[in-house]
Amino acid sequence: MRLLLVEDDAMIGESLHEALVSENYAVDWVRDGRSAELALDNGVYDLLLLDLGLPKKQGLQVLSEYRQRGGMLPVLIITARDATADRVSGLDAGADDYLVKPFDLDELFARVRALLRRQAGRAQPVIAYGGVTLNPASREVFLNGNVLNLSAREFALLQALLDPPERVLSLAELEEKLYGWDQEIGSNAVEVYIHHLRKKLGTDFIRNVRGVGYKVAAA
Amino acid sequence: MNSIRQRLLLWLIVGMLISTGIAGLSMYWLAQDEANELFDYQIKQIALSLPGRSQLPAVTAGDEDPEEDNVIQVWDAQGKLLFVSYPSRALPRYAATGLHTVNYQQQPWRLYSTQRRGQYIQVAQPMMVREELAAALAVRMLMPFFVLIPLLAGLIWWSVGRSLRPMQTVTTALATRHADAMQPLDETNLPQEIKPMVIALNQLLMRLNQAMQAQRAFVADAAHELRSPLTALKLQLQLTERAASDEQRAIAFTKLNQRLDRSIHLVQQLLTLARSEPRLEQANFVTVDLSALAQEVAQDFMPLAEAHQTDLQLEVQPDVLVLGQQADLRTLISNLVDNAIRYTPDAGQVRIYVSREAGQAVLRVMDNGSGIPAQERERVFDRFYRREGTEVTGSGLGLAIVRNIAEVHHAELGLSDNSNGSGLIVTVTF
Repeated sequence: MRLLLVEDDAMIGESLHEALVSENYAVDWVRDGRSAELALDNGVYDLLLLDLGLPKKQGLQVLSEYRQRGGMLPVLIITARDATADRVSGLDAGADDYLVKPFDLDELFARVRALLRRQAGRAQPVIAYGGVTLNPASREVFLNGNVLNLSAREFALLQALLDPPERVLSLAELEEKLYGWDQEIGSNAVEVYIHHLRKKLGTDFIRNVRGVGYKVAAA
Repeated sequence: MNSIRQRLLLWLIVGMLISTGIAGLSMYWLAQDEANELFDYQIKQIALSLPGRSQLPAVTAGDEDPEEDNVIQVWDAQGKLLFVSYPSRALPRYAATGLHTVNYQQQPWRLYSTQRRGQYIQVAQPMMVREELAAALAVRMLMPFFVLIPLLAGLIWWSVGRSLRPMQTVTTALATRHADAMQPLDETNLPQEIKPMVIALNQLLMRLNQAMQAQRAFVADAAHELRSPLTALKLQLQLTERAASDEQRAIAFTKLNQRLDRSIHLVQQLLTLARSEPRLEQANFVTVDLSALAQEVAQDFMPLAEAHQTDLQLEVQPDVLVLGQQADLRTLISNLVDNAIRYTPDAGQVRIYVSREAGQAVLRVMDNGSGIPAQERERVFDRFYRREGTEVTGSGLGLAIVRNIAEVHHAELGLSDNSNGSGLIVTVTF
């Protein structure tokens, strides 16, 4: 899952970036409204974390213009403005959730998971598909009731394929979901991870759709 | 007695009683004058109208003797008493003729004596008669006043109460409003005695309102601004808790320290700002040696300058004195020097000048950093204003504090470009 973090405060941004990366999200961090708009135009993100008081362009304006352009990303506002009127105008501008600073990391993660879950069209917190059960909150994966040991990248890759399942993702899309701007990508890194996953889940679990990409398929 | 109504009533009644008394006295004196004239004429007429000797009635004895009646006496040329109206009160014969006053048996009498047809006639009247008449007259004329005074008292009581009613209205309007209701009182239809008071009160309310709004805005801003360093602190604390290795933890602790320092800095600046808010009074102003103060501040900042490899120089004329508060002025210079060092790229130059120019003490802090564009120069003094693109995480309060202190000291603040290339000059003119 790739997130766009928009936060002008260097210290907060740094900590948030670190925290989200440690949760295996690919995170791009921008510090002003204009950069946020440019990044959003890439269309590679699964969620937007938006601070409101931003240089160059205010967060609310970025959000409402993004929504007017038809942007569908779930948006979580992170702000120091706690007045009811601010929350209302934030949600009415198109935000899906609102978190007031200072907040707890666990709560932030939970809200991010909830938004991603809804975005994928699920209500259940746990993804179950073809004998594989994936819990984004605990980051546990079970295959037919047995715990699977996955690396962070493998887990992220599996989640990208399962959430929602049966969607075909190209290699480029998978790369985008796994890596932020600041991360080096090995030339066939994603293919290596897919190879590892197949070894753990069974060769047929991840299918190659020739010329298009990859998808999960129930055995 | 602390009621305007009671006091007015008391003084008006006392005044009325005193003036009625004075009026009574003068009435009495006037009546006495009139009575004197009248009775003098009367006794004269009695004396002149007495019949001749043959017709005089015989000296009578056992008269009724009403105290206040005239005593008429007639003597012949030989001095023999021919007639006396009330023998029991016969007066001696006085030699003088015409009208005069005598004392007989401790009582003043008015006499008229005349000689006619060989007879000596003396008509005497006790003065008491006149005094009683004058007093009776005076009292009768004063009677209406004694009826009027209680009536007037009632009228005063009522009209004063009625005139003071607008004050009651103002009091009620003030007493029933909420603590945060700062809207002015109604100034229309007020008596001119109360209007200035209400206008003054409204002006006070207005100033209070402005002060309260400023305070509220400050608290709101401060609350908002405090959230950022606290958020950074809390996030970093949680990351530190999650650190998987000692190495990670050590890095996290360093960052935690930085976040904490930032929070501490902001809180300190907030407190300094609150303390430096311009106050009306300039109590505790003393003569401050600006030259010495600048030197002390420069000493304090040497370590910071060295850490940034900044060349901190001092060009100070001796004995430049200003009136002010030592601690505030130290904060002012410190903030300017601190900003200059922090916002100038490493290996920069910061100079502090103190001099006396055209009779005014001037402090200049000059750096060779990137300067501040002209369009931002007004705003940088605003609270919590941070320039975009600066990597330094300041509180946004340093220059606001400088402005407050300058205002209290009636000093002028100026920002200008450093003419020797890039950079900023902050000038404070006292």
